[in-house]
Amino acid sequence: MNDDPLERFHDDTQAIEAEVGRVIVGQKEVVRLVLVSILAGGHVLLEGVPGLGKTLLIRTLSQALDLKFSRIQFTPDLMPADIVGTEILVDQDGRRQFRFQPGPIFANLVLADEINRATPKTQSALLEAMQEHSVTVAEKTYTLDEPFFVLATQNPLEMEGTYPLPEAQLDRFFFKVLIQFPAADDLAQILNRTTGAEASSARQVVSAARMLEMRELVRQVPVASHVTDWIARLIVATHPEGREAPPLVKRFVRYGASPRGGQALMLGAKATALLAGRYNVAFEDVNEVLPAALRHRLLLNFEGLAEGVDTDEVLAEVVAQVEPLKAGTVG
Amino acid sequence: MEWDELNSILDGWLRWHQQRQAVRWGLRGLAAGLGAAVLAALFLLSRRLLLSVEFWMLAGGLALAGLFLAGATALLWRRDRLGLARRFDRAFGLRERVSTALDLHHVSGDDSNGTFWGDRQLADALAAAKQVEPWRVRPFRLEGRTLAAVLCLALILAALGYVSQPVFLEAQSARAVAGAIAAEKEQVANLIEEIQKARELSPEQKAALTQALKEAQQRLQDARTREQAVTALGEAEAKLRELTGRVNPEEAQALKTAGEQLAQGPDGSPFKEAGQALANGDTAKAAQSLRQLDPGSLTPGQRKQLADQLNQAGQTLSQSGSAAGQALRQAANFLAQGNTTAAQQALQQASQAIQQSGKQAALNQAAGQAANQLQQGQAAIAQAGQPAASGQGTAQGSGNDQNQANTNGAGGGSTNQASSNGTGSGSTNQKNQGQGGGGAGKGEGNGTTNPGGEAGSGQIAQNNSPGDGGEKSSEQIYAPQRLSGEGGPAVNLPGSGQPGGQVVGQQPSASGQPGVSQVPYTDVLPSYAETVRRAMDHDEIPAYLLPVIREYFSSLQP
Repeated sequence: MNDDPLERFHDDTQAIEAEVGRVIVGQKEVVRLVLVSILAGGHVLLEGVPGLGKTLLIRTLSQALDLKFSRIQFTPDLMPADIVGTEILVDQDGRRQFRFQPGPIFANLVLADEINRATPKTQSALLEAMQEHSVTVAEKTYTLDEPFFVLATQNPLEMEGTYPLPEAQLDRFFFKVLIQFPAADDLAQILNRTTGAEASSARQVVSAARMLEMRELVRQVPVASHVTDWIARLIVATHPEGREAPPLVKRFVRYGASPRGGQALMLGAKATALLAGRYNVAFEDVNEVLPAALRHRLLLNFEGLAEGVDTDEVLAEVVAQVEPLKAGTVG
Repeated sequence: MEWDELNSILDGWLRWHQQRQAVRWGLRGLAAGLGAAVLAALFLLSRRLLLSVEFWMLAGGLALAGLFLAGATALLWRRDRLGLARRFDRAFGLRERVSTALDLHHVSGDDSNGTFWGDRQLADALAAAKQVEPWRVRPFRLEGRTLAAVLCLALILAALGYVSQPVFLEAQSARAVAGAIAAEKEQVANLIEEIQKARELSPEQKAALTQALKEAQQRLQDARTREQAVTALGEAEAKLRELTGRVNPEEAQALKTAGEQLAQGPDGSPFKEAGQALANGDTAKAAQSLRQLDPGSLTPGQRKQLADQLNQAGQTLSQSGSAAGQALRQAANFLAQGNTTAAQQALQQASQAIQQSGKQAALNQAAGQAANQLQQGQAAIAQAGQPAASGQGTAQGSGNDQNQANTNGAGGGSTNQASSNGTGSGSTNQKNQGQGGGGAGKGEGNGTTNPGGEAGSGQIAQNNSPGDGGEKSSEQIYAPQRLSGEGGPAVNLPGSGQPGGQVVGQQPSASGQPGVSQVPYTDVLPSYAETVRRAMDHDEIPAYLLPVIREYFSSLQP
């Protein structure tokens, strides 16, 4: 075993990715981003059409990370108590008393499937737990076990009859990861794996405690002042009144990313740097996580919505506009 | 230790970066210098202020100045170490390792050493930095645009230098003219000073002389071209010559003769001193002696003898038209009659007349000298900056008049630049005035000259041979009967010394060939001189030839 904590970190993450890769075909970027989010202590919103393996991905991750997994299928008739739990009347010691029955949220890794199908009231019950890592039922607060991650999914199709998450709630998700339809090669491999006699599953790679250590290590990664400065300038540039805001932002964005978006960028870059085996954050690390960290935090104006502007395009222009270093060349 | 090592590597990168920047900026400075040279050269060439050597010095100087100034500035420019470290990280693909190490060190000082993250980050940065070879990662390349600009500007300068040869020559000529004008201004100032110091001139005479010179001085100050300067000097010379023309040329000789006559008296004669002074040309002393004479102290015999002397001298002076002649004759009469008082008064009058003549002669001499100086100045300015000529004059004589051909160079060339015998232009004028005090001309040339005798240094002897520097009283000259050759108008000239006489011989001749007419030289010269004078007055002759022509005719004066 490697004594160096950073090398151990690097080894563990590579083992996790390798183990997940045994079950999940392709989607390496998705796996990487979800892992980064978990290491940074954030929740992820996965968006993709049905049948792309979102549930399998999260389940495999929970197996590799030895995390207690629970799945909540959100439907329009789902109640908050169905998520957080409720008090039930039980006979105990000859007396009737209320006992709290924990809901499916009491797990380490919670899959909130099709979160946009539940009512806003039900959504808020989950989102409160995501923020506070605790639930309150009958005036009693129950702390959720650490580590606690929520991986919610959304179907970009079938938006009719759904309750889109409000921007304030979307802001609580660390990353929004888009799952693309697999390529033909990957699809062929998927078909071979999933239609055979043997069903593959992941083995445990790290424990929950180890995950907490790794999460702590991520927060310690040093960031140079000019990288921090660049992240701040990027966030400001997503606002139309920002000094360095590009034309697309000025035209189509109503409101830009919040400071929470900057936190997501910073933590995500730290985790990415460690995954790359480096002891400091680089501009490339920020670039790698920027779309996932900010795409769901830009509020488009009417013109942007009407034009169907893609926030990823807007973010690309922001990155192009905001130079990491001020003017000057070397050599 | 690791920190020092990383610093050492960073220092090496800094030096590498500075050297490259020095070369890059040096090239930009060279382009800027060449551009400035082109602009400066165009400006100066448009004003004809640049010579060829100066052009190339300007171009080279500005180019080198731009090169070294920009290069040195880039080399010595202080750079922010952390800022450069950030750029090195980007340039060498170090993913912010080195700049983070510096950042951590700046933030926490030496405390960052020994911490978990500080140590590992520094080691990681050092390991990555050691593998970087800047010259391989970022090989040096000259900026194409800058190089192209340097080449274009250099070509433009070269072309400019090549096509501007005529401009350089013009500038050279203009500079020579300016120098000649400046020298002449100084000469004029010296002349004014000398005239102001001259004791033999009255204040009115000084004012008359200096007025023309001061006007010339002012016009020279304002003159911008050769023609303006030559015209200014020419007009001033003309005014000065007018002053010389007020002197009766025969009076000077008559005064001298009268003085000799008065000095012939016996020793002790009261007129002896006055006579000797008059014979030597010292009119002031002669006038004083005459004023001091007391006829009352003479014996009747002495009065009679002196009366005869006075009468003789008075007749000599009267023949020249001098006012002193009549006064002397009156004095002689009164002296013979024994009227000593009247005789003394007459002698006073004679003394005043002689003094007046003396002053006028002094004025003439000073004016003549000044006029000759101005004439030389005109020649110097007219010839300044002109290309060297062969110096062969078009001889007006029968082809043997070497003196005239060599000294005059009337072909328009610059005699100063050809070999000449340097006979000064003042000689003939002095002879006319009879003062014999030495020529005013300096006889100098700008080119190779064999300095001849000082102009007018002595009487020109009669009946000597050509080539001796002298002349005959009459010589064969070509008297054109047909201007512009055959078929032109006839020219009537006085001949054989008879006024109004016809030309002897009317055989048509082509110009340049000796004709059969033969007239006295002195009879022909005034009419030629008058023709030339009229031509000059009517601006029929180019300004730069005026001094040459004047000098020529001055040298012809008997």
